[in-house]
Amino acid sequence: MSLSQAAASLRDRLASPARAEQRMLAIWGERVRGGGGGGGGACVGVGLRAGCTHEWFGCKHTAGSRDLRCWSPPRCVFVDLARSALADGIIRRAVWIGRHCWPYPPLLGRFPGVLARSSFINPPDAASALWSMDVALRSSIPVLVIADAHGLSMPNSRRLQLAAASSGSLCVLARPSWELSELSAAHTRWQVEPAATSGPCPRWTVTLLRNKEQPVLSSQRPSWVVEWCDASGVVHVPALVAGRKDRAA
Amino acid sequence: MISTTAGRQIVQHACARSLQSGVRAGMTVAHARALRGRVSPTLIDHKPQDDLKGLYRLARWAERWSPVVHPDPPDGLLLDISGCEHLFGGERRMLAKLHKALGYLSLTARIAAASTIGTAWGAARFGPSARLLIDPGHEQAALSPLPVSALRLPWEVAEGLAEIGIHRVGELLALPRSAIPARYGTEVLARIDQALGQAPERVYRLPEHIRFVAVIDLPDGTTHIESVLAASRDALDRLTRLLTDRGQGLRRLNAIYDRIDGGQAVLTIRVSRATRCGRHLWSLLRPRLERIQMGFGIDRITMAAHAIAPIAQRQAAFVETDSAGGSDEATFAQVLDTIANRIGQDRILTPTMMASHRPERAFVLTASGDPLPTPTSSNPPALRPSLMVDPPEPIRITALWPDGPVARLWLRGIEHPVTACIGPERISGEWWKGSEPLRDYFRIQIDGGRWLWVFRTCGDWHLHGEWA
Repeated sequence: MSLSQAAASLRDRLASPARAEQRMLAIWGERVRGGGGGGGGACVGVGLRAGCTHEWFGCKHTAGSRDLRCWSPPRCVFVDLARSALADGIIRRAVWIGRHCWPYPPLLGRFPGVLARSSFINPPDAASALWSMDVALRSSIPVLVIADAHGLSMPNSRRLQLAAASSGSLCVLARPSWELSELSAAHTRWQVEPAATSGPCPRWTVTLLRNKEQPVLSSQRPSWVVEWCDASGVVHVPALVAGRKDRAA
Repeated sequence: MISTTAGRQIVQHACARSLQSGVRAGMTVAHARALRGRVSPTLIDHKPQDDLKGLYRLARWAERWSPVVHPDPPDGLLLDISGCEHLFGGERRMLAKLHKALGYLSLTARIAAASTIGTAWGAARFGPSARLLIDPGHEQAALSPLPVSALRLPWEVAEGLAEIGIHRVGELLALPRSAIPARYGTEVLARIDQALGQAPERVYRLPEHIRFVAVIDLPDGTTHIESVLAASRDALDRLTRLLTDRGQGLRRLNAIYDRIDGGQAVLTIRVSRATRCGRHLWSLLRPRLERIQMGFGIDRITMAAHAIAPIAQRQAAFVETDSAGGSDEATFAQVLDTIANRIGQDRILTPTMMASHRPERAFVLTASGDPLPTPTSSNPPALRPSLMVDPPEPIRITALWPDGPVARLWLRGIEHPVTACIGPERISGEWWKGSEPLRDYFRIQIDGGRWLWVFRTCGDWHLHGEWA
């Protein structure tokens, strides 16, 4: 092998360090690992694989309306995902694309280094938003892209999936619940709905709708109740509820 | 030229005709009007910062007379003409030529040449004529008849000396040297020594002014995009080599395309941090070049670097990759630059924490490329929602009793029963920003489990956030 061929080979290996390594971002800790309802496998529904896109469906507030103001992306969950992704070292930077999915910035400031490694992008239209997601995902360093992706078509969904796979980045897309029936190339799909609570902390029901690694039946979709902790600023599974789900499973 | 101080208009500078009428700097405008009689003077606002910029420009111009030039604000220039005078036919001729050249610039100047800076400074300002040449060894004789202010003394020292009847430099020099520091400080002796050449003083030259520009001429012009692309890349490479040689980077690149018909197209590329990476700059410039209007042909390409900043040297990588040798920050900044150059710098925002109790002022968003403010807070408040409604949205509330727990809420015309209400958290206004009313914040849970953050101020209710 000549020196130029060796250099070319080395360049290819250096250019795509993440491609060979597919990493999993565990969400909500070990308690959730055993909380899957019907999957059986330890990883079903409990992690976000890097190099893939993951869709999160927010809840609709007003019946009948499809106005942007009438649905909320699950920002608390996104803040927690950004925190854990940056803390695990899987991801080096977080990019929030689309003003509708931006969290309140001081929430990110509660965790060391998260706010400093976050950038907010406010694209003027859907085409610019899609292009921005694509460029950010193709960055040579692994990034977490959290984007408002309402109205995303199937070809564009596939484009983002390929972009994420090319760099090992993690792509989290927020979509409204009325787009649940739309086709998508996302690796996983999740639905988040508010859950009534008698305690002082907000709670949500998180349901795994799709997991390409281990398909789940629609009648046996695993779901969890998660709670926002004011003191620590993280989303976790309440102990009592987690235990109840474990017993049910 | 006038300035306004405490409601009074004060003359700062006056034209020759006004000076002949007796107008002087420091007098009021009313006094100056009275002196000018029927002639109404033209008043211009005095801007000291513009004067300073003009003085630095004049210093650059004066570098043709001597390589060592330094501005002496507010209105002076110091030139070290050692070894330069023979180029202009001697010191006397040099002064004449310099005086004439300044006259061409419509500047009234007083010039003095001496062996010491102090003597030249005093003679230029207080000397008997507008052009003075003081021979070496005659400094004391030249300064003696001049007022003590010619020694660059502070005004309070000059006034103190005037109280004891010392008005001229000669009178000051006649005083016992040992008695001066105790009464007027050591600066007086230092200035005397500098003026008489007994203490060293030198003129420092202005920092070297380098223009980072690369120009490529295309004879007879061209309308071929391939030629323009190749020449642009070549010019950009020359520019980055210039920057590399000087250890500098740019934050703004102006690509100027001169057309044969006299027109010009300017493409501006901004980056969020200083760079001299030709590949990155080219990736930002090339897509925009394809849309350039070439008219009848482009005959000159100029690449000019602006907003120059130093960049630390680093070891070159054996195998260059997209991220070789660069930090995550540098690599990711290139990604943001790519996005910003398409959708706009002001659409890429970086948050910074600020110290404020008001939730909407607890952070600032800074556009890409702008300097980040210094964070003034590192302790974000607890109990803040993930969504902040900006501006707060008016809502209607029904309480069980006045100032009591919230029972019902009307949001966007829809009634929601309230199942939980926690609060209030009182947040006061910032008194230094004017009268801001108090806010009482409540966390309330409505039907379906949604948690909202509402506040009451002056009897009105607003929705300010939600835990979504």
